[in-house]
Amino acid sequence: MAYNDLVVRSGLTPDFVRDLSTRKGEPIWMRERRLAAFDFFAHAQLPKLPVPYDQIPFERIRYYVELSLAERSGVNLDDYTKNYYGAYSIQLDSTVLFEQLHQDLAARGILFCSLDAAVQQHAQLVETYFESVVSHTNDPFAALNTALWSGGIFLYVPAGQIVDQPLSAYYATSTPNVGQFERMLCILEKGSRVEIREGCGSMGCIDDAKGILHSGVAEIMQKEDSSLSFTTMQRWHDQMILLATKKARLEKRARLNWCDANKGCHVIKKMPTIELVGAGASGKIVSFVVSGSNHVHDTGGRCVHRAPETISSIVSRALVLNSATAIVRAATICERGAHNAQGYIRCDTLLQGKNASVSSYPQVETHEQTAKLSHEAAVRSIDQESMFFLMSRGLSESQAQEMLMRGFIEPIIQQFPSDFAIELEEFFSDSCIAYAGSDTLNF
Amino acid sequence: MGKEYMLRFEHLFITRDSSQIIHDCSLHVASGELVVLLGANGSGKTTLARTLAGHPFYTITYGDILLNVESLSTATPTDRAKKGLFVSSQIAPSIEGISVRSLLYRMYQLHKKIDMIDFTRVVLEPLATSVGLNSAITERSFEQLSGGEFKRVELLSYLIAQPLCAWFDELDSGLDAAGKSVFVSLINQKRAQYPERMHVVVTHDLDCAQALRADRVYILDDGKISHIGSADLITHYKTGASRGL
Repeated sequence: MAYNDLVVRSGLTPDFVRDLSTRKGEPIWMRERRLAAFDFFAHAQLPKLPVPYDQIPFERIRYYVELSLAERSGVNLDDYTKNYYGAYSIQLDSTVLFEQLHQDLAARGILFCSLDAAVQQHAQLVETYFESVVSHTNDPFAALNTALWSGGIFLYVPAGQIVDQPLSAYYATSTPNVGQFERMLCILEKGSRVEIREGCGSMGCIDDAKGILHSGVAEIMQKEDSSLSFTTMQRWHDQMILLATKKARLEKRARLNWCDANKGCHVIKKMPTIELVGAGASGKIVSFVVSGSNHVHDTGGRCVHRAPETISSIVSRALVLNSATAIVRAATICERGAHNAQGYIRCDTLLQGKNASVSSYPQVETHEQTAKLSHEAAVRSIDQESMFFLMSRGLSESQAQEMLMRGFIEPIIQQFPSDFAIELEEFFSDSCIAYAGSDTLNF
Repeated sequence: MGKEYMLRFEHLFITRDSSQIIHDCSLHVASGELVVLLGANGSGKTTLARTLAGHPFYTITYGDILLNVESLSTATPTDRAKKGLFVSSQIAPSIEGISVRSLLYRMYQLHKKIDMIDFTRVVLEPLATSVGLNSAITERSFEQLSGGEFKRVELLSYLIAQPLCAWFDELDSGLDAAGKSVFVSLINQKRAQYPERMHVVVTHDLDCAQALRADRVYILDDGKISHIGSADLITHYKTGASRGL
């Protein structure tokens, strides 16, 4: 059977995948999984993306880039870590350059390292859980990641262990046309608790305006009574194409608070998914996106109830400026047998810009009579009465706009872990002011 | 006596959505004066207030609004505020996520640069107390205020803005008895303190109007000024309102 266009354009071959695996000195099983995924990807019918495929230069992408020793030594670690504490890992292009796990965590059996290192050091765990939540058959881009992943994060928290300090992972790019295929695998055993903070894009020192594609996979397995707080801050430059597959599976009474903030990127396609497979599990997705210039951002969340007494909520706020296009999806699916499941969706969008547009797709589907599912969605533009009120108090038009946009994002900022407030304020309101600056309100 | 000021409506005709609401309305307020404007519901009082503040839905089709000899007709709401105009609002705007305090702080900064902590302690807390508000209430957003609380916040906004010309559009309605008496005494106090400033009080409460010692009284009827007179007009209006004066 012939390869699809994308594989032809990219020039990727099974030999490339085999060489990548050999270079990493991987065991045969991992190489076989990569090859199986590549085969699936190569023959798959490509999913619809928010922009036409010919706008994405697959032929220019460098699918694996390992920095030289000289390039590595030019990276100033402090720029990445100054705002963060706890253990951390930093990936630049295709490989993880720095990682650090505190001694006391290691002594308690907590594993936190690159997925590359885990394949070597904790092969049995990786072999058991790799693709257990996100299969390469889920999505062709998940398959592409499975074939080409590099660097990445592996986290294993043994039963009953509580990690007090957050664990941080950063992804940045530095080489022109690099495609980054980062992959995260997290396993939380019974009763464990941990907080993960994930950041993408520049922290001020790296010229990350050179990356071209970031295609990540996150798979999270949460056993009974485990608890996870997972916060992602994406702030790529305006040319980046971001295609992510993120999924968590929650067993009995497991809890997940999943916060996802995005700005920048020409294209984003991302829909974190929570599968509630154990009774009493609860998951929450908080999605915040700022779209400007000609961005096309397809974001949201999806919760699937497969067990009784499960609870989910999806709260989304999108600020859509200039000529950006936003697609906001939120889905709650309640399968047969999920007695008394409760699901809640709330999506708010603020449109500000003559050519800005939004499509909102709330989806509520239930096969269980006792389930209680609700959704609310609202799209609005900046209210003229509010503008008038603020201006009549002496604020200029742009100050009034800024204030109303800040007001719009405030409720979603409060949903994030509290110490993200300042960072979110800075990164997001600064960008919304920048994007709004070129647009005058029709007032 | 310091500099002389004047707010003047000259033969104003105002339309909204192409229907005419105000027909040939003229009035004026001079330095130090307090003017009371009375009128039944729907007579056009709020249209005058919002037009004065520069609301985009209202169009002046004829006539002019002058603050000191300068026309305000084409000025933005921001410019009007900066020229010293304060027009109170009857309804709280539905602004989420922004505290009352942060707007008051921005307003105060137009006069004086001060940090937020000093502003709260030195400016906001004493003024909030003077209008009978616990300053903690200013942590709330406008949409979280009750009707009466919003009116007191408007009074507080007036004190923060320190306007040359204040136009109170039924600020007293929705205030309890204590609130009304605070309203009256604050205005009397500010007039004594700043003899050049101008005040216009639009009200339905005739006791309140009488307590304000107006220099002149206007009665608005169906978009026109029907009567102009001294404070005695309030008494006449009180007894004669039911008979159409």
